[in-house]
Amino acid sequence: MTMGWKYAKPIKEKLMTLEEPGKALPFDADRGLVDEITAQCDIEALVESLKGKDEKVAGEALEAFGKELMKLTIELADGKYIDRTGEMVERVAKQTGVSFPHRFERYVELSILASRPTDRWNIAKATTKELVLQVSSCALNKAMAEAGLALPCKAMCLACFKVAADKTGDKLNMEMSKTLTKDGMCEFTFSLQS
Amino acid sequence: MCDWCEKYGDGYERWYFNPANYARRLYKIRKEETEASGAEANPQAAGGMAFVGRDFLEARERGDTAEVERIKQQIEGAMWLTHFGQVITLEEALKITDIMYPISLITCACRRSMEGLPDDENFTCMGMGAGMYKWERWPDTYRGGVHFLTPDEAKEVLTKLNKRGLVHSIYTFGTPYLAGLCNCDYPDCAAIRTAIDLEIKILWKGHYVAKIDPELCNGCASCVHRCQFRALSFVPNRNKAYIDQLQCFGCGLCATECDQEAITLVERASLPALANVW
Repeated sequence: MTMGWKYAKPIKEKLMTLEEPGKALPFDADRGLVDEITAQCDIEALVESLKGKDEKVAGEALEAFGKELMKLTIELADGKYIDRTGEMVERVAKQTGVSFPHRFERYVELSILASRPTDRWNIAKATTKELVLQVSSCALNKAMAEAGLALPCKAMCLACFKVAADKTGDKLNMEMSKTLTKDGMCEFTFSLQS
Repeated sequence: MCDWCEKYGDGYERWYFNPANYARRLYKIRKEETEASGAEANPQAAGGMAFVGRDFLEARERGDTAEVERIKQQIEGAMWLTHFGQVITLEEALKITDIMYPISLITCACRRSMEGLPDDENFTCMGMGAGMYKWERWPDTYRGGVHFLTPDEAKEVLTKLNKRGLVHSIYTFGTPYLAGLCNCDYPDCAAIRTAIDLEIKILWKGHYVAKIDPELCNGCASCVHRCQFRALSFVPNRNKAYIDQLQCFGCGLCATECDQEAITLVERASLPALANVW
């Protein structure tokens, strides 16, 4: 952008213009992504497999599940089910040099939508330094409670998010400041390391 | 404190400093069927004077104050839920560039319709937040294109636009989601025009009020042309500028122009007579 004119004037090479006006573009998450991930990363089957396991073993299983979930999400979201929002997020990051929060947020959102489509969650903060995710209803937490399991399910989420951060190259501190059982919501704060 | 700070401030000094009001999800699951036009409506088509119909203008014309008030309340009620703005200062605008992302320079729909400006001379508006990644969803609004900025570039643009005399204001797109940072002037800006000419509050006054120190004012009058709200005038027999504080929207354009530093911004809340004048 140049400031030479009386207002600001976009640089031609950086100005994004409509490529195919009138063409419908897929901005939202593809239902196929949800179907494939739900089939391959089945929350109910996971909970069933955790029954009778001690906390350490269960924690490892949850972590492995989380990693696998995010790997699959990234593979499908950047390949077979690429969407226009994702393409734009990448283009903007390339142009501005600002990767965080949305390249990371994209994978996080898609992994939740695809594996637990009925969850209720919200993005409470999205700055270039910090991202806050709040989950107020979680299918995994619910299934574990119904099965009478009191296991550290945050291992699944944190392992999942770590894979996304590795993929985007964002060096993040990840904190879980609230939990569903105590606070009525899980709150994850991701902040860029300075 | 304004109503919006009370409702959506969540502990922050101003509701527009609350990062939650800029944060949104990127995704929902794609629907099988075509979505109804309301939900995906052109964001700017909902703005400006779109809610003001002929019935309001005719009621004003015939002096039917009861009907004017009724329609006005109806318009304000609808707009405060969907799309309205509040004036902010340059300092506040600069601060906002650090609490949301992405930010993009776009053409101004108001100036386009008022002035018929060609797109490449009309990049004075800013779109904010996750919705901007989907700008192609509204081809008419963004037909001039979109130029994504870094926070530092956005600060540079805002400073330049302020120097050129444009008022900064933030806008909701489904209150309290803030997604527009407009930089405009009277009469181009539909919101300023609606607020000033029709007295419909779709643009709220800012949290500050300008104040002149007559001792420091040298009567140069360079501030007068900066005011877009008819609040500033020049008093020849006193050789001083004068601010009608009831009319002042607190944008601070007069203060940034004054070489003598004779104009300062004071908190609206600190002035009992103006504390609730929005």
